[in-house]
Amino acid sequence: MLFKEIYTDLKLMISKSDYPPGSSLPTEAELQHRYKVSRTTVRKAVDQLVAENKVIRKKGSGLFVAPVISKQNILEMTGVIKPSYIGSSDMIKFKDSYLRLVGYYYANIFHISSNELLYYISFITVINDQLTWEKLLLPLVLFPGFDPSCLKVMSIIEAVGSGKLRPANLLQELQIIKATDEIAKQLKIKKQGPIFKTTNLFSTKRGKIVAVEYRLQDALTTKYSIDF
Amino acid sequence: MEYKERSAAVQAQEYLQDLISFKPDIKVLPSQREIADKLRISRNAVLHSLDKLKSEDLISSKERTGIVKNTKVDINMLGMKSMSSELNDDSVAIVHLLTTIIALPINLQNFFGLETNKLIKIERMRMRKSKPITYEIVYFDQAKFADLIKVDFTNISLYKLLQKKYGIKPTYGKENITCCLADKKISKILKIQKNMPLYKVDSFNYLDNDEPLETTTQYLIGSYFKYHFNANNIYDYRED
Repeated sequence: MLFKEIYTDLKLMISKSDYPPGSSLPTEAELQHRYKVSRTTVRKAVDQLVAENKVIRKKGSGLFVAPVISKQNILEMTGVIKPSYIGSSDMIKFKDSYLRLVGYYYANIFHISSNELLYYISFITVINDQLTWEKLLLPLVLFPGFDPSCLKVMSIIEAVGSGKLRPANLLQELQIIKATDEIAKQLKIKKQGPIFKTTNLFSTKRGKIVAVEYRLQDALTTKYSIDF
Repeated sequence: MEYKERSAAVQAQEYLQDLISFKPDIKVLPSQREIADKLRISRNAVLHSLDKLKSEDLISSKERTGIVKNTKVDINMLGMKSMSSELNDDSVAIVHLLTTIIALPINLQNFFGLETNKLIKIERMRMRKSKPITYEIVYFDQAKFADLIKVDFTNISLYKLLQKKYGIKPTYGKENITCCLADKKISKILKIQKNMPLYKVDSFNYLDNDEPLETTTQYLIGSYFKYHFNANNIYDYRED
């Protein structure tokens, strides 16, 4: 089998969303096994997809389908608060991902039953030595089979667009809060120090909230800018 | 993905957040004992959740009343509205502190352009229920707005005055939000302790002919305010 055929096959599966944006692809070893070719042939096919920005090779994590929305797009959005560091390469460290009960508070936010389940995904990103603690809450019913590892290559804005209901609007809230002991430890700053807490509510055209994101950052080293 | 039970403290926190956000009639929250009994959790867990909510200034303890909800002033960043219409609150008064003429500082050369000589610097303060909440410094090109030196800005909306006096209003701009700790001067003006966190908002506003109009630095007491932003049709920015 030629590398061209493997390339075409993978490209087709990506365009048909058999592998949706941000999802992980089989490893090169798995591809080698599947197509029964040499590693060099697989690598050549993957290299071409990487060169065309269709696939991302992430060191230590494997191959991912490239996300659709680039960081540059987010930067160009008017009316979205933009942290000054966006656009640089990032590293992500998962702290927690599990399913939990919705409970009364989030039942009122998502307008679903308090007995349903929510994904709770918490991770730290490191960008230019700046730490950000992210927490993402998604109803299971809207995101069946959500794979948190897509967050390694895709922005949250795109990840929350991959569910059953597509959000259209974003309400952002920015507050200064005090670092609790846990926040101080995670973000490596002084206890009680000021923190910027951003709450992002993603909702559909009809106003149904589909995702809630909390972002915590050291307020003294973070700058937001907004064009209007 | 595995299933995990919420911790007792998280349950208490979300129970209280539900009361705060979705039960507007409740002004005073249940006591620690009541929360612990209702959720069948320890007093310790309740205490932990209250600390968490206090760290976000969502609640405060009031003597003899119990735990009360706090209401922050919610500012919408967009829409080119002035701070006065944003606050839209009769209980907010504007105090004019001082107007001076200064030489163009280096950090504003970019905005005003090098041909600008002198600036009018207007310092104001906003009070809510007779407590200071913001300290604001506005800069104008003196050559273009010389008359502003004579204006008493007490309880006057700056943008309304510009519209009335000059028939102009800003059409677009840029805003930077950072956080700083109150220094000696600001803590004195705002009557707060030194090193209290403040929002520092620098805004740069332009007329529709791209001419710079004014730039403002605002210091807002961190615990009194929150900002919100609304972005619609976020995915219209998709790449083709």
